[in-house]
Amino acid sequence: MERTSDTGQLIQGTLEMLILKALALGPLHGYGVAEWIHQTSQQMLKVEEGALYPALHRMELRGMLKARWGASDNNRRAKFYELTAEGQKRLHAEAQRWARLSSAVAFVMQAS
Amino acid sequence: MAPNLHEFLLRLKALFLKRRMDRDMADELAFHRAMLRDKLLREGVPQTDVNAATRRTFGDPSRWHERLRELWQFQSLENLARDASFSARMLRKSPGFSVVAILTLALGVGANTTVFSIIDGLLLRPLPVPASDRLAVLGIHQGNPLPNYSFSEPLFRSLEHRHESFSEVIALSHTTLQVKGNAGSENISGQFVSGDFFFALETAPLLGRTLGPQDDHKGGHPAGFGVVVSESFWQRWFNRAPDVIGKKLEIDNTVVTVVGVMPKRFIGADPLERPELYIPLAAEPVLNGERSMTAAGIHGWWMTVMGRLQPQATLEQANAEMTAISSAVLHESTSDTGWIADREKRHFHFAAESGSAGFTYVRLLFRKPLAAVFAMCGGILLLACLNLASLLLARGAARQRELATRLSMGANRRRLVQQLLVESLLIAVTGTAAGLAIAPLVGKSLAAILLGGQFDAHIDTSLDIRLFGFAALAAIVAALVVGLIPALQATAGNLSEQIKQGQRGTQAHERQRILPR
Repeated sequence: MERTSDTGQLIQGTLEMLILKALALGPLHGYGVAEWIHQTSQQMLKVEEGALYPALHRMELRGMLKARWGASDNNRRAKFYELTAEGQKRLHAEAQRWARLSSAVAFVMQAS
Repeated sequence: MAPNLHEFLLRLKALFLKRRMDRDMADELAFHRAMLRDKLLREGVPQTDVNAATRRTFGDPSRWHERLRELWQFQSLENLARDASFSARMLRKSPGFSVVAILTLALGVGANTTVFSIIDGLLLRPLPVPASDRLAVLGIHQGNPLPNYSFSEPLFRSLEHRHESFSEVIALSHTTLQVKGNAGSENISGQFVSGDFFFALETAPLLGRTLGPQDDHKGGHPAGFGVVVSESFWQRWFNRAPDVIGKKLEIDNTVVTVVGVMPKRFIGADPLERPELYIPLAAEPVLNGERSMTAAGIHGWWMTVMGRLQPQATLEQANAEMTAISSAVLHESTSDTGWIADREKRHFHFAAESGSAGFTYVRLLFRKPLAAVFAMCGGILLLACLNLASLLLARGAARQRELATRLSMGANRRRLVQQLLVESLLIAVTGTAAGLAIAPLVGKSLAAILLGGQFDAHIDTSLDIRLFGFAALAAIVAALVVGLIPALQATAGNLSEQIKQGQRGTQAHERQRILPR
């Protein structure tokens, strides 16, 4: 009944950041977002559908994304997501946060 | 605030375009599956295995769909609706328990509401006249703990013209009049009223005119005494004839003239009376003859005196003014110096108190007993609630396994407690509705017993907003008292232990008692 955080290997906040990044280059449908993350990470990251769509919809509800229906490359009806101004701001903030966090983790792991 | 508003609007849209949202979600997921299938085909997976492979990677689409749908809902609201229908189903499944629970509460709430309806009708309900909160009741203090609310005629006549804080000071007195009809005489309930009575109560007549100061003179109006009749009397006696004004009535062997008809909602200034005839105070000696109270002068205590405050005046000012003029009024009313000296020794003075609900003598008699009965009924309701709580506790113990199973399947405790509370609220609301349905009937007969048939009086125990508010409050408080402890108790403790022990039965709730013996 209750929502369980079922995000595969990805932490919730990280998934949102990756989605924002994927959409920074232009509108994509859900499948496109998953493929882009998969390809760009050199097949390291796999976004589960069960995590992707709830995240997309939650972000749409919070006003980070805007959705619109259009035709895909092979002429199917698809739902395209794009960043709103709010989403842009969020991406910027998340990227900075992530840079600080990962360098901090790197420092710790390199300590001898 | 802005993102919340955005979210709220989107959810609202989803609520109204539910069908379309559903279709869109299904389409979106179907698109994803189709793309996945294309990719698998491109990667050389044989056509026959594609379906199975898609399902393996994608999982159950209806489950994702459900997750998305939940995301767009007003969760708490839709959960509540689901809880309510689930609770109704649970209650229908055990009709024995439900009937006992509902009847228990119906009795408790019914008794309380009944007594409250009498208290409401007797003590709280304002007179059905404009700005009833500007009315005041006058009393006489003369050394007793309680003031005396009966005035004699000379005192009132002196007060009637000596006031600044009041725009009018009026007097009224209940009476029974013999009216001569076609088939012999009939006893009719009436009120003697002073000249400014209708002005103070600010109610316009349905027909004709009201009585005024010119009617309240010795000998009455030049054309004889006038009388104002109620709408029901007009209907019964004159069959609603439009030409009733000017018709003669023979009352106590005196011929009087009908000058006006009052609308049904007007009940005079005593909330328990429903007078049908309003007669000028000055007609009393004529109608009552040898039994006249007016003739008893300063020693005949028979009328209630009220006042309407001037627009700017406060009750305190009026009260102070009344105290200040007491001595002058006393001296003006009588020449019996011995009597005046006696009164002054007892610090005789007038006082004004709030009269928005009018004045009735019965109120003085029953204020204390009613409070006692009300407290008792509160106790009864509390007992009923406690009984019900223990019933629910036992039921909670019996349902331990169901609850534990739901908890283990991912329901959180707050939701379970909420559902159990909704269940007891459902019982409480049904019980209260049943209690509310019987309250007016019981209230009517209880009022009749209270008044003992001595007065031709009438307590208005019909339902009104205050009564509904009281009943709603009773229902909610009862639901909380009844439901909270059992709900917390039933959902507390170790889950897997309860599942195991639930199978073995009784020893589980042996330990679940709130109070140790």
